[in-house]
Amino acid sequence: MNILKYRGFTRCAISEKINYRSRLLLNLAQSGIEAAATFFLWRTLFNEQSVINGYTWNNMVFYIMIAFIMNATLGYGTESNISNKVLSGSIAMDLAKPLSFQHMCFAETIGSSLVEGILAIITGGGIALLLGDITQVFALSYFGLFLISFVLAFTIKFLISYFAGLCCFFTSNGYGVIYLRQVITDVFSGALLPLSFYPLWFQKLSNALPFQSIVYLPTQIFLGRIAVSAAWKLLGVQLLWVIFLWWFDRLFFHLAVRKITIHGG
Amino acid sequence: MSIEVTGLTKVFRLPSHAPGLKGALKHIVKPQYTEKTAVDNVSFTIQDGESVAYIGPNGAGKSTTIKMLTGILYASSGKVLVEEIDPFEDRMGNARNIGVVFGQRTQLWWDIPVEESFRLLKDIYEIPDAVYRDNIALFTEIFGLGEFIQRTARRLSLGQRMRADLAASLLHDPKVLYLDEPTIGLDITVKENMRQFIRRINKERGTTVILTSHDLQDIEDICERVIVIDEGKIVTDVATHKLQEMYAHDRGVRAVLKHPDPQLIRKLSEDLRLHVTENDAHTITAMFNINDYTAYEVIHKIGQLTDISDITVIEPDIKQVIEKVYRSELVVKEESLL
Repeated sequence: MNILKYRGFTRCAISEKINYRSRLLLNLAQSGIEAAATFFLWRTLFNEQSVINGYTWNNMVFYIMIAFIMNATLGYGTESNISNKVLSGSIAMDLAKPLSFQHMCFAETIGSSLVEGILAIITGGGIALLLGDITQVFALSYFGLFLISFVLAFTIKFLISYFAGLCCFFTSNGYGVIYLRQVITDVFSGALLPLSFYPLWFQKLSNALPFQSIVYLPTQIFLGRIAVSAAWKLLGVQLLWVIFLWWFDRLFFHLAVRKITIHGG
Repeated sequence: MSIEVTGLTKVFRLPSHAPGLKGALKHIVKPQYTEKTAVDNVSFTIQDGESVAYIGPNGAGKSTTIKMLTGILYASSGKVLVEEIDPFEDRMGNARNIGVVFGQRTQLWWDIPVEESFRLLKDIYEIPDAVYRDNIALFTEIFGLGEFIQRTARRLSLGQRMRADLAASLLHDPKVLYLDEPTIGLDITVKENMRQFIRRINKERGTTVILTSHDLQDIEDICERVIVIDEGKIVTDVATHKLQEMYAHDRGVRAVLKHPDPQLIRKLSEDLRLHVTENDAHTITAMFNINDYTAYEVIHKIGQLTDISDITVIEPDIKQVIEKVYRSELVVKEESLL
C-alpha cells in the first residue's frame, strides 16, 4: 500500500478550500459565534467568583480557545464533503478506482482542515492572547505533548465524522446526520463545558467514549492541569481510540458497501 | 477471456408505503419493502479486444450490470470474472484493469485544472512516467486537450469535459473500458470524434470495450456485438451485422399522392396486407416484408389505385431493429445465435 499516492488529494483539497473563501469564512463564523457565546457566559459567571471548579478566568479563556480551534478544524464544510460523496453518488467514481475510500477521505480532510485550522489558530489564538495571559497557563515543556495530542484529536474527529458520513448510505439525509454528530461531540467532548463540571456518572460515561479525546484531553495537556506522566497516559488513550476507530470504520465501510444502492444513475 | 458473467442477479429492496400521511406514518411503525429484480440471472462472456454494446430501454438493468462489473455494486448472486479477477473480492485489483466513463458523472475534480486531475490519476494508478507522457501526448493530439488542459473542470463545456473524461479513463492503459452513455448531450462533431477515438483504442490497443448508449449510431460505429437486456434479462446477444441481416427485413415506401384518398389506406391494408400509415392528407407510408414484395411491386400497386407525385423508399436500419426488440416484437433465442 503506497500511502504517498494519496498526497495529491491533500494538495487538491487545500486549493479547493482556498477557492471557496466565502464558505470557509462562514463556517469559521459559525464556530466563532459559538465560542463568543460561551465566552460571554463564562465572563458573567467569573464576575461572581474568581475560581470555578478549579478553573480561573485565565484558564477558561484558553479552554474556550482550544475548543474553538478544534471545532473549526474539520468544520461543517469539510465534514459535509464526505456525506456529499455518498449522497450524490459520486462515490461510484471513487470506488471504480484503485483507492481506499477511507484513505482518500482522510487525505482530503487533512488538506481542507489544514486551511481551516490555520485560520482558526490565527483568529482564535490572536483573540485569546489579547484577553488572557498565556504564560500563566502554558509551559513550553508541554508543547510537544500537546502537539501529538492535537494531531490524535484531529484524527479521532475525522474518524467519527467519516463514520457519520458513511451513515448517509442508509439515511439519504446528510444534514441531520452531521448535526447529530456535532451535538453529541459538543456535549461529550467538553467543547460546551469542561467535563469536570458534569456529574460523576456523566464523566464516567464520557470516559468510556471517544469524544473527550477531541477537546477535553488536549486542553488538559495544554493547560498543564496534569503531570507529564499522566499526559503520556492520555496520549495512549487517544492512540487506542485512533486504532480502534480506524478499524471499526473500515469494517463498517465494507458492510455498508455491500448493502448500498449508489444514488442516481 | 476478458469478462465472464454467470447467473448474475441483483435484487433491490425498495421501501413501499401507501400514499399520503397515513401511509407514511404506517411505514415508520412497520416498514414494508418490495423486492425488485433489476438484473435477473444474466450470463455472457466477452473475449479480449471485443467491442460490445450493452443496451436496453430505460430501467432495463444496464447500469446496474455495469456497476457490478466494475465492483461498485455487490451482486445478490452469481459470479463475475473480469480479467480473471472477481471485482467483489478484489475491488482494487479489478479497478487497476478497468477504465470507466459515466456520461452523467465526471472523474475530474471540479476545482483544479484538468492537468492536475490527470496528475492525481497518475499517482492513483501509479502510472510510469513514460506511459503517462506518451498517453498525454496522444490524447492531446486527438482531442485537442491543449486548449483547455489548464482550465478547471468547472469551466469546461460538456464536449470538452467528456473528451477530458475519456482521456482520464485511459491514462493507465486499462484492459477493459466501460462507457456508460459516453456521448450523451454532445454535438455531432464531438460525438464523431469520440467514436473514432474509441474505435482506435479498441483496434490498436486491443482494449475490450463495453458500451451502453441510447444513441444507436454509437453502437453501429463502435460495436461488433450487441447484447440487449430488458427487465433484467438478456433478450438478444448477437453480432451487430447479423442483427441487421436477420431482422432487418422491413422496408417501406413513402408516397406523396396527387389527390387525397381516404379509401386508399383501407384498400392497401386489406388487399395487400401492408402496414400502412397516413403521414398527412397527401402522404402515406406502406411498410412491407422483403420476403413478400419488392419495392417495385408495392409502388406499382399504389400506382394502380391512385396518382403518385413522389416516392421515397425507406431502407431498414439498426434503429428500427432495436426499436422492435425494445417493443418485444423480436425475441432472439439463444440457439439461433450460434
